[in-house]
Order: sequence, then C-alpha cells, then structure tokens
Amino acid sequence: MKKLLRKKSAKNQALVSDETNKNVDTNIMENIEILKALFKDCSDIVFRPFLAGRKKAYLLFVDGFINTLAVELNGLRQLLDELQGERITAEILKEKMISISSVNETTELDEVVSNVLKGNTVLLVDGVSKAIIFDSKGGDRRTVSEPTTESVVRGPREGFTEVIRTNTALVRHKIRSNRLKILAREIGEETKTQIAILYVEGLAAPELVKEVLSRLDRIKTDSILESGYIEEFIEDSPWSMFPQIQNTERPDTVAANLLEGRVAIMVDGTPFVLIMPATFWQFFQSSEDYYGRYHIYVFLRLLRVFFLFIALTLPGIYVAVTTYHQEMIPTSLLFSIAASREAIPFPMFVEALIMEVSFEALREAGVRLPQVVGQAVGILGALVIGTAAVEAGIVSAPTVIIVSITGIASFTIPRFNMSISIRMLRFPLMILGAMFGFYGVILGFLLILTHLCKLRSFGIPYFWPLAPISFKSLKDVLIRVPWWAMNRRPDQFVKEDQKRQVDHLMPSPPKMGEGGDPS
Amino acid sequence: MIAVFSLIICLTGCWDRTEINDNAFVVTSGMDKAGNEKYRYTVQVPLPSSMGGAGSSGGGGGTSGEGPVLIAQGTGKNIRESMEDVQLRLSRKLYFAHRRVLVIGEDLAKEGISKSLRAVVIQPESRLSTLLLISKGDSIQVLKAQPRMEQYSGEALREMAKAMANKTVKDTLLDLDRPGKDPVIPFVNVTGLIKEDKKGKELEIEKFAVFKGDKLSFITNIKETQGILWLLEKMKKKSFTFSVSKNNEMTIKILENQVKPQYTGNGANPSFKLKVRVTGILIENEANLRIEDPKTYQLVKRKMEQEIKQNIQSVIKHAHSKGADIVGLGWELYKKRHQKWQKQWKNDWEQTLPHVNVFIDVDADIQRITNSGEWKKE
Repeated sequence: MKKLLRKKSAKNQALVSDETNKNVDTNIMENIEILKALFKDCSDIVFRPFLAGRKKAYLLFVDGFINTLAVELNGLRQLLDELQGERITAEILKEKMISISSVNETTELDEVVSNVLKGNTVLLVDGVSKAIIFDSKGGDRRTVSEPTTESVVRGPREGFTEVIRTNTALVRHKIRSNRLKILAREIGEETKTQIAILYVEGLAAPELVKEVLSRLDRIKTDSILESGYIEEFIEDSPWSMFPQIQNTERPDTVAANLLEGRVAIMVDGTPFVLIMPATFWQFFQSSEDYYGRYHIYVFLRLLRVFFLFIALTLPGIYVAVTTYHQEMIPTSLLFSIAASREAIPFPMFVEALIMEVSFEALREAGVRLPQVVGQAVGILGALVIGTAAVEAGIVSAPTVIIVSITGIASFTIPRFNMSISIRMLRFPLMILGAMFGFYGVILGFLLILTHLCKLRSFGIPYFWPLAPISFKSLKDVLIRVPWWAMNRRPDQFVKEDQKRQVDHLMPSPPKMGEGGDPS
Repeated sequence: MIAVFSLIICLTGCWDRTEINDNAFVVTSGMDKAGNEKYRYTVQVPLPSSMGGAGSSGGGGGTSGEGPVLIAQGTGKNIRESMEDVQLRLSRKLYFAHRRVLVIGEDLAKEGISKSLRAVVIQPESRLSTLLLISKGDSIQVLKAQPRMEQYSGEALREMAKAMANKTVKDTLLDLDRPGKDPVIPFVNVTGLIKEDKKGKELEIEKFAVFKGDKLSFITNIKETQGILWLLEKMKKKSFTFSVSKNNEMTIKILENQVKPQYTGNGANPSFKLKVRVTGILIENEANLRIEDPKTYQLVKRKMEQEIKQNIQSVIKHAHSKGADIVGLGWELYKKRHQKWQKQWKNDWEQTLPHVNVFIDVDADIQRITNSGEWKKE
C-alpha cells in the first residue's frame, strides 16, 4: 500500500516538473495560463492583474501569507509606469524600493511556483522573460507570548512562535555572537517545511553537528508538520519509552543548551524546538533552576528525583507490600488499611489498577477538553473518585491516597514527555508487584535502570553523568551549584573550549585596607 | 510461544499472595500450662471492621463487650499443636509477624519457658523484638483486660513494657544462652485504676519476675524492683524518691544510669565491685534544702547514694540466695576469666553465688534543680 502511494506521488511529481520545467515566456498570457493550470482549484492564490504603463502585469501571491503588499502596490505601479515595464530588474527594485528586503529574479516557472508557495510575491510583466520575486512574507501569525507548557515564576516570559524566522531571531537576541550558526534545510516533499539547525561553533562538537545533519538529510517524507516528526525520525532508540531528545518552547533554554555544546533544531510551524543530545537528568531540570536562589533549587532538584521514584514505584510497592509483605507495614497503619479494605470487593491489585487507570482517563479528559469543561471534569473526577467511590465501598481510602500521591509526584517532573514515560512504566511495575511482590518490583526497576544505562542520545550515554560517572559534571545534575562555581562547561558535550568563566568569581566583602574609605 | 511464556509467568507468580483481609493479625499471644503436660495458647486479634478505621461501619466497643478484639484459645500437647487448635476456629489465617507482646503465665514460667519460647520464636514470621512479659495467674486474664486508654490490651502492654524495661524475646533468649546470666522479665497483673476497684480491667507492670535458668524463681517487691531497674540501666527518664530526713523526701529525675561490674578477685570466692553512676535533676524538694551549699549537697548526695545502694543490695542478696545471677556476674567471669570459669566455677556457680562478695559503689550527682524548695523570708 505504502509502495503504491509512493509510486503514485513520484509520478505526480514527474508530471508537475514536466509542465513547469519551462522558462518564463515573453508572452505574459501564456505564463499565466500555465500557472493557472498549476494552481487549479487553489482559491487562495491571487493573480492580481494591473497595467504597468501600457503593459499587462501580474502579481502572484498567496492570500494571507503576505503583509506589506497593500502599502507597496501603489509605489510599485508608479515605478513600473516610469520604467515602462521593460527595463525592470531586481537591482532597480532593490534600489528604488527600500522597504522590500530581498528581491530576486528567475527565468524558470517552477521557481515561480515554489516562491509563491513560500509566501513571496512574484511579479510578471508582459514582454519580459523573467519573473521578479520579492520577499513579502508575513500575514497574521501568533505573536510572541508566554510559553504555556513551561511557565516560570522568575525568568523571561517570551516563548517561541510558529514562525521560524521569529524563533531564530529570539535565539539570536540571546546569543549575539557570530559563532552562533543557523543552518537551513527544507524537508517534506509536500510541506516543504523550513528547518533550522542551530549550534555554536567551537562549542558543539563538529562530529555532532555532522551527525545531526546526516540524520536530517536521511529524511525523505511528504510532510513535517511538527518537530515531533523529526524527533521520531532521528532518535537513537526508536523503541525506547524514554524521550532522547528534549523539546522546549523557551528561547532561554535553547540558548543555554547551545552554550553547553548542544544542537537545536527548529521546525517552521511549531513553537517546540528540539535540543539534542539529551541526558536523562535534563528532563528533571527547569530553566528557572538557574535563575532563582540556588539553595532552593538544590532542594527542589533532590525533591524531583525523590518524587521520580515515588511516581515510578509507589503503586507497585503498595500492591506488593499489601499482598505479600504485610509484616513490613507498621502495625497501626496495617490495621487502618485492613479496616478500610474490609468491605472492598476487589483484590488489592485490581483496586489499585482501577484507580490508576481512571486517574489517567481523568487527566486525559481534562487535557483534551476545552478549559471550561475541563475544570468541570476535574471537579467531577475528584468527587466521584475521591469521595463517592470510597463511601460506596468500591475502593479503599488508602488506595486513593496512594494514587493521588503518585499523580502529584508525576507532575513534579518538569518535562511532560518524561513524565508520560514514567507514568506509563508504573503499570508494568504494578503488575510485577502483584505477581512477585517486592522481588518483582525490584526486578522491574532494575530492568528500567539497565535500559536507561544502555540508552544513548547522539552517542552521549543517556544516564551521564551518573553512569558513566563524571564527578566534575555532577555539580549541575542532582543539585545546582551557584553560578560562581560553574566554571567549566559539561565535558561530555564540549571537548575543547571548556572554560565558561574566569575562576574565583565567588563574591566576598572587600578585604581590609583594599576597599577602604576613599578619603 | 508468547502464550506459553505468559502462562509460565502467570502460574509461577501469586502462589503466596494473601490479601490483607485473609489474615488474622495476632498482636498479642499468651502461653499457659493446661496441666498434665499440655499447653494452652491464647491469641489476641484486633477486628479491623470494629477498629474504627475509615470505611468500617461504625466504631467498635459494643460488639461483645470485649472491645474491638477477638480472643481465641487452643490447647495441645505442645505449643505448635495448640496454635493449630486455635486456627481451627478462625476463618482467617493466623499471622504472627505483627505480634508485639508475648505473655507467659506464671505457672508455665515456673516450669520453664525455654522450650515454649523457642517453639514460638522459631517460626519465621515471629519477631525477635517481641516484648516478653510474665503474667500473674493465667495470661488470658491479661489479654482479656481492657485498658481504657488503648483500643486493646496488647497495645497497652506494649507501651507499658517498653517504658518499664523494654525486655524483648531476643534479650531473654540471649540471657538463657549465656552461662552465668539469668533473665529478668517484667511482671504484669490486672488491677483497677483506683485502689478500691477490685474488678478493674486495667493493667499494671510494676514488678519483675526473676528467673533461675528458664524457671521462675521469685517476684520482686517494690524495693527490689527499683534495684533491678538500676541494674538494668533502665532508670533513665524515670524518677527516684529518697528520704533525706524524717518525713522529708526528695525526688530526682534520672538523666544517666550506668552500671559496670568489675572483677576484683581475691579469696576463695570471687568478689566484684559494681560501679553505679547516676546523675539527675532535682524535681521535688520537700525538705527545702539549699543544695547550692556544698555541705548540704554532700549530705543529699550521700543519702541518695545510700538509698540506691540499699535497693540494689536487697535484690542482689535475694537473687543470689536463690542462685539467680541477675547481674550476669558469671557471664563477666566467662568473658574476663574464662579459663578459671571453665575450671573452677562453671559447674557449681549456683552454689557459689550466695557467697560471692559484691561491693556496690554508687556515684550519684544532681546536675540541675528545677525545684529549689520554699524560700524562707529572712
């Protein structure tokens, strides 16, 4: 089926290129006819005829893609009147009309087509065997606004938008250096999606950049609609549950990662920028960790790791302990669990499973529904599951508590994609716990740990710097040292230029005699 | 293939799975003699449905007049058989991992506890940290008691035994296995909260049962109990009252209580020096003595040391006359003078014990005062 489709599309392409592989004719009506045939049933393509002197001229553009044209049309017409259309070249346009940022000319019709689709405006004049292309990209796009998936208390409030140019500019604002390189690619036979590859020269390892580019160049597909497409095409272990590429909506996060020698990929049409290579611990860090007082973020990072264990293992441990190892529960706690379970018709595992699954369902319902309805679902779920189910004797109160703690714990993970992986993995652990008790939970946990240690992201060990251990880089993993102590860049990413700042930046009061009274 | 593997997994797991509600959690158990080489075994199992937890229907109390617990008894030719006898009458499986207190009846204790204790503790579910108590009369009396403070008597027993001397099964088994050391176990009886209350259902632990080997030798009186507490180093945080003059007492809250036996040798019979170190806070000063004055302080100190010494002496004398080595002097010899112990004392230690010379050296100090007494106007 797939093969068939591919063949068909290849045929179509051949057809299209056949027709457009023509030069721009001097007779404008012939050009327009071919173009109109190509853009048949494309109601958003505008063919705007007007008179330049006595000659017919056409402006071609996609309605809604462009911004400045309305203002420029008069100026353009005047210019064409003056020139009588014949001597019009890109240079003259460039000289006379400063508001147009880039002007090109082409003699091929297929370039006309692709430029129109990119959002440029194409000018065809009768009797001239070339087309003038000028940049008029614009139109109504979402403006820069606060990223909703990564909100911070302290830190920049701007987030990426769907426009790739805006996004690259946002990063350029942060890193005003000519070492910041932004390579361009175009992927997607149909979508022709703009891709930008960002890295800082001298910091990112050249092999890494090469590897990223070669993986990108591998992709031959019809469409890239979101960076998630790219992510799945280029990650190291496609079967793994764990995300091996980080995504972010925040320019400051991208900038910080570029400065640590990583590479970022931007995809036009989505505010989510990919950052690679990613390590496991990166998903437990938020950009705010670096902006607030470090003491609290040392605590918070440790807290997140602790709650990572909770989110992963607590339901499994709970099921294992209550069905196999009752001796491990403190006596009085045991009696309150036993008392609340007295009237429950299900085994412990089934009960916990019901609760965990309905929690996931509730969360999903809350996310997908419109915000107003979502709130109602939240209240309904809390009432039904939290109170009514316990009072009806369908689930026991301790199970509800365990499930809610697990839920809260999974929300402490700052990156959504990691939090999903962790939440999914607690189900196998629960099953193992119900079948083999603690032995099963530990077995499952070890399997996950082994897998994590085996994973790689663009050649970087996923569990680095814990395994393989790098004591130098531990300063920014489970804890975060103050900025005056972060003198080196992480050695796994930056091989050469490791020095971030001068040493001895720790502030201290002036020494006696030195900073004394000026009088 | 996958089906076979999943079958293997499903069939191998779960075989020892037990839901919480299929277990009967024994919190306290009692062992008694049922005459004629038979044993009686009593278990106390809280009933989760009447413990008043969330989801249970109503609080307990009114169920059978016995509180939220179930007490079942079985008899058999040995402890294990009587345990199985109990099980026959229960719908849920007896589960001993949560037993915190083990009570042994006085009669059984007189006959010897070693066999029954080992029989109970040898099963893997049992905890060695279970507290051990000797009851006055049959242990079922203690299990049936209903202290008002707690939900069931087992909990009260646990708290009280812990506060008293914290003697666990493990301690006792160690004592039994050590040559020249005899166990001392707290003694519990049923009383009322008020003296006149004859039909009380409250519990009281204020004495010790002194053993000779694994057999109960005697029950201490109040003075001897105090002495044993000093010897066990369990007086910390307890208070101690002594008289300084006629009708005038002082009370000290003990901060530090250390006992060190020292072999001093000499003579045909071994002699020992017991160094007792005590410090405390003065909390009651009935005599209104100004102990800031060194002279007065020396007087108070001497009085205090004297009384402690008397307490210790009385219990040691009593125990040694019965041949019970409560301090573990023999154990001390076993460790420090091993060859001589093996040759000379090992076999007739019981006979030697009453002639052993024990010199008690008490060093007591009052570190702080929280009650300076009444200040007379001058």
